[in-house]
Order: sequence, then C-alpha cells, then structure tokens
Amino acid sequence: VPGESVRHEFANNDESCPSAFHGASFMKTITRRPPNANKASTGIEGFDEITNGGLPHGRTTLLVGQPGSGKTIFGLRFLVFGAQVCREPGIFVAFEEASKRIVANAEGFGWKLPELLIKKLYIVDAQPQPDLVQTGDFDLSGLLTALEAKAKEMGARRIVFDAIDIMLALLPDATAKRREMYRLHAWLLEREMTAIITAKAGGDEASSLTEHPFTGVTLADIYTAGGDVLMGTLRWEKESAERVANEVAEVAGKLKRVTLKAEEAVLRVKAKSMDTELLAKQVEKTLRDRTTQSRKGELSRGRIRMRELRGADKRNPKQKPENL
Amino acid sequence: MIRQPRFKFRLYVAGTTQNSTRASANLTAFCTAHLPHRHEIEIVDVLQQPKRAMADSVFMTPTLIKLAPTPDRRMIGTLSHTQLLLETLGLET
Repeated sequence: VPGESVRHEFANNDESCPSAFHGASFMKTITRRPPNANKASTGIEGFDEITNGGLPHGRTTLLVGQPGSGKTIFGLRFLVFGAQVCREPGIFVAFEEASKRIVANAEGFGWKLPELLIKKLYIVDAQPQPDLVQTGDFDLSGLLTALEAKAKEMGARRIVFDAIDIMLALLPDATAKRREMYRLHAWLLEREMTAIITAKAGGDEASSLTEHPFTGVTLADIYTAGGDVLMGTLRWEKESAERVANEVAEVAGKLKRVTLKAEEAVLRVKAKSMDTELLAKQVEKTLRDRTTQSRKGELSRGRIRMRELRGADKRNPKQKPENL
Repeated sequence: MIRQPRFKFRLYVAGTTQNSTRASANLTAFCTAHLPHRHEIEIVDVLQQPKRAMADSVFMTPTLIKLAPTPDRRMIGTLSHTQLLLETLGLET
C-alpha cells in the first residue's frame, strides 16, 4: 500500500532529522485516523489524504478542468472504488464519451468493469445525437426520473455526471442553465447521493457552474493551480496503467514469438516427414517399375518358352513315329 | 394524385410541467395546420414510464421522436419554432 510506505518514510525521518518532527507527527495523525464517516473515499491515495478522507458524503462536488486532465478517469475511479471496496454501487452518466470507450479506457487501468457492470456500476449513454434539433426550452426531468428508477433498482449511492457542459450548452439561455443545475443539485441532495459533476474549464457553461453554490467542494482551483498532489496521483496512475499495458504487450509479443517458433518446428517436422514419404513413394515406384519389367521379362520369357514348346509339339507328330 | 406520407410521432413529456404541456400543445397545433389527417401522436410520460425513457435514451424532456417516415429524427424543447419544425421534418416547399 503506497500510504504505508509514505508513513514509514516519515517515521525514519523522525529519527534522523529532528527538524521534520512537526511535519511527521502531523502526517501520522492523518494516516492513523480511522475512515471518516463524513467522507466518501475515492481510492486515490494522495487525494484522500489532502481531503482528509475523500469527497463530502451525500454532497455534490464540482470538478472543473482542461480537456485531458483526467476528469473522467477521476470520476470513474471514484465509482469503481465505491463499488469494489465501499459497497456503494454507482451510476456514471456519460454526456460526452460512449460507454464502450469508457469501459475500454478503464481496462487500460486494470479495472475490471465488466464484472462490476452487472450490478454495482451502471453507465448511462446520455450523449446528445449530433443531429439533435433544439426548438425552445427543455429540462432534465426525463433524465432524473430514469435515474431515479435505476438508482432504486441497484441501490446506487454514488453518481457521476461527466461533461455536464455538453448538456448545458443545449439549453437556450443562462436562466435555463441555472434552473437545471438547481434541479439536478436538489435532486442529488434529497437522495443523499455522493456526486461528482465534471465540466470543461472555460466557456459559459463552466462559469455558470462555478457560480452555483454546490454543497460539496469545487475542485477547479486545486485542480488547475497548485494541484500537484492530486494531479501527481492521477498522473502516476495513468503512467502505471501505461506501463502495465506496455508490459502486457511485451509478454503478448513474447508469447506470439514462442507460438510462431512452435508452429515453425511443427512445419519443419511435417516437411521432413513429407520428404521421407516422398522418398518412400519413389522407392515404391522404382520397385513397382522393376517388378513390372521383370514380370514383362518373365512373360516374354514364358511366351518364348511356350513358342518353343509349341514348335516342338508341331514337329513332334512327324518325328514321333521315327522316335518310336 | 400523389399519396403523401403519414407522419408518426412519439412525444416524451414529464408530467404536466410547463415545457411538456407547451410541447404537446405546439405539436398538436402544428400537426393540425401542416399535417391534417396524416399524423399519429403517441405521448409517453417519463414519470409514469421511466424505463421506456431509458430504453429510448430520452434524457431531456420534452423530446419528440419522428418515427415515420424514416429516418428517425429527434427534437428537444417546446417545439415553439414552426419554421424549424418544417425544415427538420422536410415539409418546406
């Protein structure tokens, strides 16, 4: 466990370097504290540490960041950890990426999503169709009612709305955007779901979101500026996933080489046995040729002998009386 | 006489919320004006049938799906722009 090793390092520093004493004891109190009941652990060591146990339980956290900064993976990690470790099933509402791609990405991290997908994790494909036409105002009642039914069915405690900016962009004006965020937030609070809402940084959607008073925390600042701990952890996870993927590819390559070698050997043996077979056939053929020839020879010899005998017979009647 | 295609619609609404009520009123008025005697409207309330909404991937209400003539087309909102409706349904002459 990475957390253990961190604590250990500090304990060592404690003995060798007295000036680090305060920092060390501070770390100890954090790591020794039992799991915080008010917090929902994300399973990301560094993040849980700096937030004193994870995200506020039963509250909504807004996660704003640049494209590719790891928002989707952060949300997914939170759900996977909840489902696997905390007995908190979760729902992932995907406004941007298709569920197939999300599952594929998760497999790159070594998270076994298909196992979880049966009961503990549900991915909603909520990407608006590219040719969707918007004429006038609309609301999220449809989504929330559908989610309500699903959450009840699977006992979901965690939920992630990934890339809510995509949906907000379809709403006609700022008033409608604010109203729908309010609706969504109220719905989440009433059900005491621990939620993450992610959005791309910049643009009207993100600013209308950061204006909204969420009950959890807004991770925009920590995420974009001086968020080395959080980003470091995620980056480490991304890199280790890549490393694992590379290792797997290497092993697969080796395995393929071995298989090819074995196939080559089999083919070689086959070629050899075919050579032998060919030789045997050739021998058989010459033998047969020879037999035919010798038979022909025998036949012709036999015929000559017969002729001789017949010739003798023909002459015999005349000679016989003489001989007698 | 050329026989004109019959239009089949499914409108997903959320109970009697303002947007939903407006959309069904607008759709009925539009069909009476532009598709007289050649339209069918099925109204599905997501509050009553949430699973059907999930199965049809309907997350925003109101959502109108044009089922016939093919291909399917989706529109969200109160359906308040008649011109946009005409264009989307290919009824512009």
